[in-house]
Amino acid sequence: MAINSIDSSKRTRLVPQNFIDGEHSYTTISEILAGVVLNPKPPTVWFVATGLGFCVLNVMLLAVTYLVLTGTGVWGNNQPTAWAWDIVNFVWWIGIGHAGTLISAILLLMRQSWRNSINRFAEAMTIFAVMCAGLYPLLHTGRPWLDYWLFPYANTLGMWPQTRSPLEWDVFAVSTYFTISLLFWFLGLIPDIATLRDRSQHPLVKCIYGLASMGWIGSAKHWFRYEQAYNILAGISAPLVLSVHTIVSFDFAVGIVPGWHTTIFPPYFVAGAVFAGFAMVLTFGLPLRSVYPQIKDFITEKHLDWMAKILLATGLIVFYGYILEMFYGWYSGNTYELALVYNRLFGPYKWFYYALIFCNGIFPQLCWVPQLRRNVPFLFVLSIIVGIGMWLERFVIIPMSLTRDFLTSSWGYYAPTEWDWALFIGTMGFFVFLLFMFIKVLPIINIFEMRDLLMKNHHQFGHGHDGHENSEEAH
Amino acid sequence: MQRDNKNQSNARPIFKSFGQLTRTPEAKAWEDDEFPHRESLLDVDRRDFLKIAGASLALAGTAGCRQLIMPDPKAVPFVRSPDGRIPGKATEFATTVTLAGYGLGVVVRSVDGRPIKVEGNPGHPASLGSTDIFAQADILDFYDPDRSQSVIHRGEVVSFESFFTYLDGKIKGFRKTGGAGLHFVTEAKSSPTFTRLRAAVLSAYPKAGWTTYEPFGRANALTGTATAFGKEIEVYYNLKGVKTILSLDSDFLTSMPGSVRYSLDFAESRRVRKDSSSMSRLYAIESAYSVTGAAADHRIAVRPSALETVASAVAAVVAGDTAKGLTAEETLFVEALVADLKAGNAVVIPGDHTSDAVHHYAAVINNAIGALGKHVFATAPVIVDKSGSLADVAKALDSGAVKTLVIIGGNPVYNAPVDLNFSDVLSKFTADKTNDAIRLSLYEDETSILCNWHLPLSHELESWGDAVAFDGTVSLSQPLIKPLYSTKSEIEYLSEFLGKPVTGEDLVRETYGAITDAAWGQALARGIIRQAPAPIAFPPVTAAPAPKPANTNGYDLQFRLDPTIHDGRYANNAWLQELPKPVTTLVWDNAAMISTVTAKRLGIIPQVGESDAVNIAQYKGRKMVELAVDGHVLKVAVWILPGQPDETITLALGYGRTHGGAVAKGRGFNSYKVRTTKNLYTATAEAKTIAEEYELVFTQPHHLLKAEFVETKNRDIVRVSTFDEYVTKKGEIFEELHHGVARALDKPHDAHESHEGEGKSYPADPGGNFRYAERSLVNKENWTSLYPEFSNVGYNQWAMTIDLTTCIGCNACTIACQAENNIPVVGKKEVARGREMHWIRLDHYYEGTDVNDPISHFMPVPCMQCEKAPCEPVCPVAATIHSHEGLNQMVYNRCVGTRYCSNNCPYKVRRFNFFKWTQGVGGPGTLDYYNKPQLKMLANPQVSVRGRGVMEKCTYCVQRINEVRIEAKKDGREIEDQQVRTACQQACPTQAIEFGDMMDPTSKVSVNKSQPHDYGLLTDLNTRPRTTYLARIRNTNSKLEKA
Repeated sequence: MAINSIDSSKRTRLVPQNFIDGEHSYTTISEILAGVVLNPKPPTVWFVATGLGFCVLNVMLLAVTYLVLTGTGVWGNNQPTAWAWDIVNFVWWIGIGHAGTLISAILLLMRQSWRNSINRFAEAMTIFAVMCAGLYPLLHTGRPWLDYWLFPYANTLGMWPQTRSPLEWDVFAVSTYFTISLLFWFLGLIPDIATLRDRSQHPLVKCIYGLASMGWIGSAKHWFRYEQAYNILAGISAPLVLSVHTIVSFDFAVGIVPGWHTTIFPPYFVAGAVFAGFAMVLTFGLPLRSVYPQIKDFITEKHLDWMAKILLATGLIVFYGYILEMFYGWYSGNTYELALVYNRLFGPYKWFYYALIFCNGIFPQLCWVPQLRRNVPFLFVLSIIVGIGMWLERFVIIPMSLTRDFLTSSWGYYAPTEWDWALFIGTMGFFVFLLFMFIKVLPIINIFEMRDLLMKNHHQFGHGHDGHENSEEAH
Repeated sequence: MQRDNKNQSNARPIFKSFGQLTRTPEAKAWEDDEFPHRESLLDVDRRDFLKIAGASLALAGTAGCRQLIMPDPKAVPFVRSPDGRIPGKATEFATTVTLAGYGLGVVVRSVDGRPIKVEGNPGHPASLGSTDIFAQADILDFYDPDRSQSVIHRGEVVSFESFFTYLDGKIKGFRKTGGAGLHFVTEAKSSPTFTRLRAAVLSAYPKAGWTTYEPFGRANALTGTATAFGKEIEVYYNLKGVKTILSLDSDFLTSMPGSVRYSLDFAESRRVRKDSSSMSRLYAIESAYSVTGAAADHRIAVRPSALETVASAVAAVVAGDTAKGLTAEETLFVEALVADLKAGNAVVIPGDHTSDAVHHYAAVINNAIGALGKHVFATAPVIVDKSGSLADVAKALDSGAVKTLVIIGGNPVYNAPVDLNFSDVLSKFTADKTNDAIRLSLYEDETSILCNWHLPLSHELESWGDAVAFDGTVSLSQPLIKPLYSTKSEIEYLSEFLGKPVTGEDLVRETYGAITDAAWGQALARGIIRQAPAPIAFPPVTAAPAPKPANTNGYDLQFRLDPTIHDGRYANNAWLQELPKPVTTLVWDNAAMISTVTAKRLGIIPQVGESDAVNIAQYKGRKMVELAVDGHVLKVAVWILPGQPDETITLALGYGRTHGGAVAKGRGFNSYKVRTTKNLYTATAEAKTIAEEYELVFTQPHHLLKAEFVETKNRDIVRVSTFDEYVTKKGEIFEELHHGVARALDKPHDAHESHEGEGKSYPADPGGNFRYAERSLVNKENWTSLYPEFSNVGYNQWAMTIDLTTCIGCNACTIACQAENNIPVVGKKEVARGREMHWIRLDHYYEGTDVNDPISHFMPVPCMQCEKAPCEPVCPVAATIHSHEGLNQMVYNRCVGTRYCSNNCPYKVRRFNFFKWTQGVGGPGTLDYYNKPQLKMLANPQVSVRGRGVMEKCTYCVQRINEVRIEAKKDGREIEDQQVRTACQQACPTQAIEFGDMMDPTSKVSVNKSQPHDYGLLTDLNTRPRTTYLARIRNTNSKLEKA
C-alpha cells in the first residue's frame, strides 16, 4: 500500500488521494453544487421523495397527537416491558446521528480530506436524526406536558431534577449534542450560503441567503476567524461523539436488569452508533448520487470504499461486543446472566437475536472483498441491513431483557401496536422530508471545501494531472 | 312549515287543522311560534304570581317533612354532632355480610357517612378479624352503578306506589283464598328474621308454597349427615390443635362456610417458629386443583367418580381392613394417611359438593378416629327450609297450579339445572296475563327480565338484617347508609306481603323479643346478638354403604364454584373479575380445566407435558372443546392444569351471564348449560376438540415454551423445606444460600443490644450522626452499599414479613389492597397486554418433576420497600424517594412517567397508569370513578385516585400509618406494635402477613425477622428489602417422600 511509503513529514496528508474525479475547475464545482440548490426545476424524484416524506410526516403528527391525547397505553409497552420501541427508536436515531459528528469533527481534526465531500449532508442527517430521536424521550413519558420538570429551572416547588438518574444525564447529553451539532453545521454553511447569495437571481432568495450568510465577504480576516471558530467547535464536538452514546448507554448500564447491567456498553454503543451512522450516510448518499449524477465526481467510489472500511471496522467492534456479552454471561456463572444468554439464544425472541448477529456480525464481513466495497447496489443493501441490524440490537437489549428478568412470575411478552409503527415510520417520514428540503435549500456538498480540495490536489499532483489516476501511480 | 306548504302548492292540498286551511291570523301566529301554547310569566297577574311564589315557598318547607309524608324515617344529617365525631375521620360499625346464606361478621369503616372498607369483626367466630375476598368486594357491589334502582313492570319503570297498589289488591285476594296459587322461591337464607317472616307469611296464607333454591349450597352435606346420623345436622369443624387433616375433595380453606375461620385455625397449627416442635399435616384427596390442595403436604388427584372408592378405602383401612380398588400409589398414600389419622387429633373434611356417600364415609372415619365432638361439631341446619325443589316449582308453573310467583334473590333462570328449562317455563308463565311473577333482586338480571314485576333490593350494607354463621352464631346487619336508591330489603318486602309494612330495624328487633334498648345497642356495637349454641351431640353413625364404582367411559365433568365470582352472584364485580384465580391466574373468564394427559387425548397438545402455547405474544388462540352431557352442549375454552386428575374436566360456575350488569355480561362460558338435576355436581360428559379459538387472559405466564423452563430452577425465589429438616437443623436451613457469610442473628447485633433495658426507645446516636447499622434484620449478610445510609433516629422503621408456610393463596390481600388503595380495574384486554394494577400480587410457582403431581407455592409480592431501592436513583424528577421511616414513597404529583423505576425494580411491583384507568377506559365493566357518582363515593378519601401517566405501587398503607401516628403524637406516646395494620395484613385469613416497627425488638415483625428461616427476596442484589419472607415449611410424611 502507498501508506507504507509515506514520509512521516507528510502526516497531515496521510492519504494523499485525489478525491475529486473528472476535470473540474473552481467554477465548475460552484456551478454544479450551487446548481443543485438554485436549479428552478428539481428532478421529479425530488418531488416524489419530498411528497412522500411529507405524507409520512403527517402520520407522525397523527401518532403524536393521538398519543398525547390518549396515553402511553396506545403503545405496546406493558408491565415488565416499560420501555420498548420508544427507547429502541430513540437510541437508534441518536446512533444514526453519530456519523455526522464523527465525520465533521474527528475526521476534520485528523485532516482526513475525503470527509469534505460527505460532511455536509452527514451533519444535516445528524441534526435531523437527533430531532427524531429527541421526540421519543419527550413523548415516552406518561405526562409529556410535564417534561420540562427534567430541566433544572428555578421554580416555586423548590424542586430540582434528581441528578443521579441517567435520564437526567441524557437531557444534558442530548441537548448539548443537538446545540453543538447545529452550530457546527451552520458555521460550516456560512461561506457556502454566501456563494448561494452571490449566485442566486431572485431578490427574495438573495435577501434570505444574504441574511443567513451573516455578512460573509470572504475576506482573509473572515477566513481566519472562520477557521479558528470551526476548529474550536470541532474540538468541542469531538468528545461529544463519545459522550452522547456513552451516556445513552448508561440508561441501561446503570440499571440492574440482566442484559443492561454491563460495563461494556459505552464503547460498544459508540462503535454501534458510528456503524449505524455510516450505514445511514450510505443509505442516503447512494440514492443521492443517482438522483444528482453530477455529484458523482465529488462522492467518488473512493469515498464509498473508505466508508465501507469504516463500516467493517466498527462492525467488528460491535460484533466483538456481542461475543463478549455472551462470554461474560457464561463466565459470570450468575443465574440471571446465564438466563439472559439462554433467553437470547433459545427464548421466544431468538430469531431477533440471530437476525442481529447476521446483520451486524456476519453480513458486513463481505466488505473484506475490495470489489464489493465499490459496488453501489451491494453497499446500498449492506447499509439497509446494518440499519436493521442496529435497530435489532437495541430491541434485543431493551425490551428483550425486560421481558425476562429476575422473578419468573413477572415474565411477560412484548408486541408493538400500530401506533408504535406509526410513530416510528412517521419519524422516518419526518427525516426524509427534512433531508430533501435541505437538499433543495442548502448545498449538500461543501462548495468551498471542494474548491479547497481542488487547490490542494493541484498542489499535490500538479497541473495537467489526470484526475482519474490514483495516488499509487502518482508516487 | 311554510316551505312545506310551498312545496305542496302544486300537489294535493293537505291540512292538519282548519286554521291551516283557512290561513287565519291566529293560525299564522301559532305556526310561527316556536313553542305554541306556552304559558308566559307575563300572562300571570300580580296576585297569581304572589300566590304561586308563596305556595312554592310553603311547599318547599314540606320537603323537610319527609318523615311525615313518607314512611322513610332514616338518615338525616346530624343536627348536633355526636360526641367525638370528627369530620373526615373514619368510624367503624359492626355488621354482617352473607354468602349463600351464611353470615360473616364484619366491621365496616365509614368516612363521613359513607362506607368505604369492609374488615373482619374480631369478635365474630367466622371472622376473628379476617375476611375473604367476597366480603372485601362487597363494598364494590354496594356502590355498583349497575345495581337495580327502580321498580320495573313489564319493561316500564313505574313507581313503588303502583306496585303497592297492585300488591294491596293481591293481598286481599290471598286473604280470601288462603294464598292459593301463591308461591315463593328464595335463595338460601339463614336470617332468623327472614325465617320468622316466612312463617308469618305462610301462616297468613296457608295454601301458599315456598321453595328455597341455592345452586351450589350445602344440600349434599345435609343429606350426607342424614344418611350417616339419621338426621340432618349442620356439621362444622374446629381445627384448633389439630395434627392431621384429610380433605376429601373439600376446599375448606376458601369455599366453605366458615372458611375464614378454618384458615386461621389451620394456619395456627402450622406456624413454624424457631422453637416449634409440632406442625399439623394436611392430606388432600382431590378431583380438581383447589387452594386447599395447593396447601396440602400430600395430595393425590382422583377423578370425581372415584372419590367414593378412595374414601371408602380410607374408612376400611381405618377400621383395620385392607384398601380395595386402589392403585399402588393410592394404597401407599392411604396407609400413610391412616397411620396419621389414627395418631389422634385428626379430622376428615369432605367437600360440600361431594356425594352423600362421601359425607357418610367422612362421618364414619371421624367417628372411628375420635374426631366427633373434638374437631367435628354439629348444630341445627343453618339454612332454613330446603323443602321442595325447583323442579316442582317448574311443574307447578307449567300446570297452572301457581298463579303468583315471588322470586326473592337468587337467579333461577340463569342457574337452574338446564333440564328444567326454567326460562321457557317462566316466559310461558308470564305470557299469560293472569299470572304474575314478582322478582326481588339487586340486579335486573336474567330472571328479572322474564318476570313482569321487578323490585330493587337493598344491599346488605344499607339494610337491617341478621344472619347465622357456620357454627350457629347469630349476628346483626345494620345499614351503614340510607339506601342509595329507593330500595327495600327482603324482610321489608315480606312485611309488605303481610299487609303491614314495618321498618327494617323494628322487624329485626321484633325477632329477638323483648330486648332492652341498652342490650340492643350493645348487640349492634358488637355485631353479635346470639352466641353459637352448644353443639348438638352426634347420634350414632350408621354403617356406610358400598361405594359406587368409578366411571370408566367418557370424561368426568364436575362443577365447582368459581374461586372469584362464586356461583355467578359476584359476576358484576369488576374487582373479583380481575382478581387472578388461584393457581391459574386466569382473569375475567372461566375455562375447562384438564390435565395434560387429557389434553393429549383430546389432541390439544402433541406430547404430554408440552405447552399449548402457540404464540409468543401472550399465547393467544386458546383451544376449545365441546362438552356434551345428556344432549346438552357447551363450547368452552380449555386450560391445561398440572395436578388435575386425568379424564376429568372441571368447570367453574358463574360465567356466561347475559344480563345483570355491564361487567357480568358476555364473559366466559355458562357452565349451567350442561348442569342437569341429576348431575348437579358431577356428570359423565363427552368432549371433543373444536376448531374455534378463544383468548384466555392471565396475569402470570404458566404456559412458557418448553425451552424456557430449563434455567429457572436455580433462582432463589421461594425457599421450601420440610418440617423434619427444620427441626433437625434448628431452623438453620438454606445456609448455603447465604454465601458463606455468618448470619447476623447468630450474635445479637449492636443496634439491638442498645434496646435492652430502654423499653421502646430508639438506639442512641453516639457520634451525633448515627448511621444505620449495616448489619440489620434486612441485611443479614452484612453487605455494604455504595448508596448512602440514611438516619433513622427517632423514627419507626416499618417492615413486613410474609409467612409462606401459612399463606394459602386465597387472594384476600389483593382485594383488600384494591379496596383500600383505590386501585383501578383495567379490563380483560389490558390484562392481556400485561397492565394489571394490583399492588400486591399472588405469585404462584409449581415445584416438582411430575407434571401431573406438582407442588404449589404461593408468594404474595407487594412492594419490598427496599432500603437501597433500585427505583429511587433512576427517577429523573425525584418522584420516588425514601422516607425516614424506611418507606419507598411514590409522589404521584411529581411523577412524569418515565417508567425507569419500573424497569429497574427487580420485583416488578410497580404499576403504571398507561391510560386514564380511573375513568373506565379499560372497556365496559371497568370502573369510572369520574363519571359514575356512586363510584365517586367508593373511593377511599384518604388515598389519591391516580391519573393517567403516573407510576404507583404499594405504600405499606401509608395513610393508615399516618392516621395512627397522628393519634400517637396527640397523646404523646410511641406507636404500639399492631396499632398500624396494613389492609393486606388485616384481611389475611391466616395472618400470614405481619407488619410493624423492626427497630422495636419486641414487635411481631422483628420476632418474625429474627426467625432462622426468614429471608429476603433477591437480596443478592443488595436491595435490602424491608418486606421479607418466612420460608415455606411443609410437613411431609417421610413414608411418602418421593425418591
